[in-house]
Amino acid sequence: MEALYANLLNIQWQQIVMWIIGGLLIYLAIRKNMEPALLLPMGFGAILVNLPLSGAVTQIYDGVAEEGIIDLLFDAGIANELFPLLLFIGIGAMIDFGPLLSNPKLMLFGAAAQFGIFFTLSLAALVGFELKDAASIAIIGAADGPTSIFVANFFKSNYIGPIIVAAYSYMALVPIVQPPVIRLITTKKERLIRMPYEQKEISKLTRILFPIIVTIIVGLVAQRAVALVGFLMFGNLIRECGVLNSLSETAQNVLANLITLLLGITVAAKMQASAFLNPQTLLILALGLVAFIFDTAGGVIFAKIMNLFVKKKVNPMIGAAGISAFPMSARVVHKMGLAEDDQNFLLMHAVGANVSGQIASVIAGGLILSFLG
Amino acid sequence: MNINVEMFLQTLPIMGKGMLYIFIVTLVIILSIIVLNKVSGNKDNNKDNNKDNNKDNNKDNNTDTNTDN
Repeated sequence: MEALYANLLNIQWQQIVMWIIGGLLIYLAIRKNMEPALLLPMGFGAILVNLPLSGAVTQIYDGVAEEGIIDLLFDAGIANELFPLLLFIGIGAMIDFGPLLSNPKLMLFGAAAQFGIFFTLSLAALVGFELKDAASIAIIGAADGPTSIFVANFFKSNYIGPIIVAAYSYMALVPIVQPPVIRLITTKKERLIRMPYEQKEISKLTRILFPIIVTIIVGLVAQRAVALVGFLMFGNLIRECGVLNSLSETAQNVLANLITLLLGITVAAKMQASAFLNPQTLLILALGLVAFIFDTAGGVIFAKIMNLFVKKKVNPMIGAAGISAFPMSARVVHKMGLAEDDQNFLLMHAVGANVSGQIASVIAGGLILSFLG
Repeated sequence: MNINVEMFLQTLPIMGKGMLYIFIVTLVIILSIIVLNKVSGNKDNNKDNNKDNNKDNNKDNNTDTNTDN
């Protein structure tokens, strides 16, 4: 009889709090449709690993370690960066760089919208985080799950759990975070700037050579990012080569879904109450928000500065789409444009900036690894 | 929370270098795209793309079947 309730006596209040947090993530995933592919497994995983003496994580019984499946998966897929890199193949296969190749200047907005990463690095250092933890927190601003996991894991950050939760939560919150920031730093006149889209045909040769050339350029500058940029561009090359349609479909669907399924629940290995529930977690969530805000501001302000020098003005909202949260950020900017002027279709420009943000965030991640690794 | 001004100041050059390097790499990639677009030429793209698509659809069916087998 005692065996039935003995473990109940091991419940700690911190674990109950984590059940609530897990439940909240599941609620946000299902009811609010916020990144459900990741928040739901993370939420459920948070409950799994916070049950007392949970067999899902490694426990010590009579001095002998019994390895739990979630720790096993973490060692097999996250500790060695395998899952984020495989996911990047799928993401690369999903991306159409056409709008960017039609108007390469849009890449500048992707670059500018990484400002939040470096700003947050300084801020995190100011509030007392060690440099490598500050860098891991700052990379939340990459708005890109695999890059965030890759960098945080490389630095063996103690805060990988809250970092990943913050990264994916804020990516899902882009429609809420970005618009007020954009409205604050732009005028109505600026938001009304029209940008007609001129369709340009991009040759197949360009589409095939682009991922190869980007890999070489970024790889030469940031050696530690070769795996990140290489796998992203490999996925894109599979898509664009035209002779591997079934592999491209597999990468976009089966592979991406399979890895996402495992990634979410595996991240929960770092959501045990002892590691997650501390004042630093709240600070990390706040810093993550700062990173996104300053990414948005960086892109918009760069566009405003650009407008001082160019004849054909750019709608500064496009700068905000340089954040790597694809395709959410592009849709947000497009909707804001239509809300101001229902004849102003910014989508293709926003998509161009958005996909360039994907490349720029990998460059930023690679540079952070080079500077501090 | 301990305010660490020294560490903050150490990160400022990283911020400056980081943004500068991102822009430099971005400019190099932009130039590469411009050169690529010029070299690959977009004038006859529609004709070429149609020809290539027909060839590739045939190749693709054979290649994928072989791989799956």
